[in-house]
Amino acid sequence: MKFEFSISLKYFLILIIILKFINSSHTINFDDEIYTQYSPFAAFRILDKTSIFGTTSPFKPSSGQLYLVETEADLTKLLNDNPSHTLVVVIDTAVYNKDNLEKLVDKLKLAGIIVIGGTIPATGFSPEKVYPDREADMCLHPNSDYIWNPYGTSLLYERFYIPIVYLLLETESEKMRELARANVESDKYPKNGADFQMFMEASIDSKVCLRRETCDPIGGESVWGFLGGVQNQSRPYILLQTSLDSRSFFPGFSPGGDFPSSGIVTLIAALDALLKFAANDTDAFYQSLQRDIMFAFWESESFGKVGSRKFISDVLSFTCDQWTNEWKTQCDDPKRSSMAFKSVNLSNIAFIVELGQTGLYDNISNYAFKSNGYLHYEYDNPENVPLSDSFINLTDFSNSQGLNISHLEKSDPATPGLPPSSAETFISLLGTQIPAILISDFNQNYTNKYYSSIFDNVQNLDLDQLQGIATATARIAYAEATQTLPENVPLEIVADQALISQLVDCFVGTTYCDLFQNFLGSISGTYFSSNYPGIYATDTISIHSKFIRDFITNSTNSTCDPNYCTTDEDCNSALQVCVNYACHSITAYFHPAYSNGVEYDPDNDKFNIVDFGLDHLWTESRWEGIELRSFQINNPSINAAMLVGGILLFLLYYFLIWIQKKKSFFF
Amino acid sequence: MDPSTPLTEEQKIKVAKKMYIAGFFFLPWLWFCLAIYFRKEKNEILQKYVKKAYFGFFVFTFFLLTWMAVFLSQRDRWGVKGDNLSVNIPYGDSNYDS
Repeated sequence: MKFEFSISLKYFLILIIILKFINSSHTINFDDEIYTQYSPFAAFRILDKTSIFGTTSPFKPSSGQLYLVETEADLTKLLNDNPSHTLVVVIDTAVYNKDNLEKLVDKLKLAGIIVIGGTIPATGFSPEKVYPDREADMCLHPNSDYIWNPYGTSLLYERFYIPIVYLLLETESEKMRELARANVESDKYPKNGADFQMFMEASIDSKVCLRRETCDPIGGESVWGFLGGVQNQSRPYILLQTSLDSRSFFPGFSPGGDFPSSGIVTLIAALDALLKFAANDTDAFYQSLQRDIMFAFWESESFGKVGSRKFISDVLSFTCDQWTNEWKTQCDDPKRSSMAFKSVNLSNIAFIVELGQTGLYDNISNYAFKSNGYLHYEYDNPENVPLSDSFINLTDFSNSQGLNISHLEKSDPATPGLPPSSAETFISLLGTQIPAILISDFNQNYTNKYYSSIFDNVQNLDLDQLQGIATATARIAYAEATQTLPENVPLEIVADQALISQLVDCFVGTTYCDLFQNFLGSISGTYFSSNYPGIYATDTISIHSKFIRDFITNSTNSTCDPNYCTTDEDCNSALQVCVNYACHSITAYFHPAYSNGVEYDPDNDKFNIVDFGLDHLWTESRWEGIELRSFQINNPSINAAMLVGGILLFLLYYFLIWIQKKKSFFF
Repeated sequence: MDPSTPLTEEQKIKVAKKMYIAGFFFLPWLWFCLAIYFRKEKNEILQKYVKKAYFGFFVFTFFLLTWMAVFLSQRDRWGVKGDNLSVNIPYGDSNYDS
């Protein structure tokens, strides 16, 4: 007995060892045979201080049969049929809008919704409100019922209890379409199904989820600086600014074409034009300035305007709890990589020029200018009128000289004043009547039919339009800063259209573009450029912010230390940064952009809520993973049959054993 | 405990008394065990213990269940205090939505 046992044990051990060698993974995994994985963009959960927005899946993956909806007729048929089993609706972008989503969610038993396809809805679609940010405390017209965004549906401010995702990649999108179509074409099993795993950990609101560490504040790094690093405390300066971010219903994919990329591209091109002109004779240029030029790209403006607010509140009242070194150039708690903002004097702002949405071309006048712009400003500040008149004079004159410069017009007096913009923050917080003019491609309402949506992409943008606005901004800045008359502004100050084209490819298309590669080296991360700021991280800078700082620093032609470097720390002086493997003097700074209602606690590596007042405290929920899988579903009656069959088999065996015990002489 | 040598009455009373006192340390199920174990005894004193144990068990369980119901449904409404009282706070949606 014992001998036999030990032999079989030996064979058993040999078998185990052989299996270990054959099977390289530790478990036998059938997942690849059963499931097809996708990489969706999810409408994940975003919270503010009172509410929850976005979608989530239940804790256990929810699954259902795929059902394809490609036209309105399909949708009506589905709603009438109202099948009894759980569905996953696959909806084409042509019929993707808030009404249809709500109809689906209200009427049907759904496990989730998958948005597929590349067709852009012709009737326009915007998930933002009709007056974006009107409830925010920085809005200058909180009681206005004016409609800036006529396509707005406020989808971003809804909450769904089922997951909704978007498949961007064409291969995945078409595969899902085929699977869903196969379900409709035949009634036979097996059918195709899908399940979602995107359980959102945060709950209730931002205050609670920050306390429980189930969410993180949304933010990033704004980029600001003075042109050429020239800042003279005793004289006023002009502030050129724009927003750096946007969002969409699927925040991970926010292409942000007309908003905000047109503004970003225009401002970078304008600064580039000025810097190229300055490079001809640097000393003469900066000596001719009677006012300095400050530029700023504010991050996270879509989330309570935190970029501009944080900067202003830091300039006015920042105190450092723990300095990095005795020279007090950097602060560790709260973390600020540079204290240069302390030298900014906000009462010296001569006026603000903000670039809103500037990329859509609208042929508005008989003269067929290649580029048009509207000037928006607050009506209760009398200084805005002569200022806008001087802009118009300058651009009209430059137009007559044959340059491609925007034809500017004042906006319709029926508008309430400034549209939603970062300039509102300055006027609200600084209390003084700062002249502020916003240049945009729209007059009474947004001409952008896809404001803040997944459809606001490069097709929206016109390169001549962008060049015109950029040239206008550069020449206006030069004329006002050096106090020269329109006829004396040098003809060479013109924006470079080739650069604009490259910038558009990078900011709206893919981060793997040539321009980004040249400045930032190898890029890792998402392929598609997204303008969603993401969560604030103290040690990572987003690609867009880093590129803007590096590009401007490089163009400023500051003293180039030929020492080779790869990171900022490699450069000898604290006043230098590493751009393109060489050390340059800093002329553009990062500034943290996150809600004033939270402060980072480096000891515990978490965000603590401080007195936030009216701030909205936008946060993004945490999650374990976002997954979408498809698989085949068996006829449910097979499961029932297996259960019944199994029970019968069990009863049969029980009966046989009972017989055997009763009548043991049979066996 | 050897079934061949059953406990004497005195020993049973001692055991019952120990179980009864121990039950006061937030151990209602010990009271329940006491009641079930000695339910067939005829002794007066043991019967009294059984009665007291049943009483204690039901009263304690009543309060425990009430507290559980209140805590689980209202904990989110209590803000910081609620979180501090919790050993484990489940992720995701709760019944409380402001």
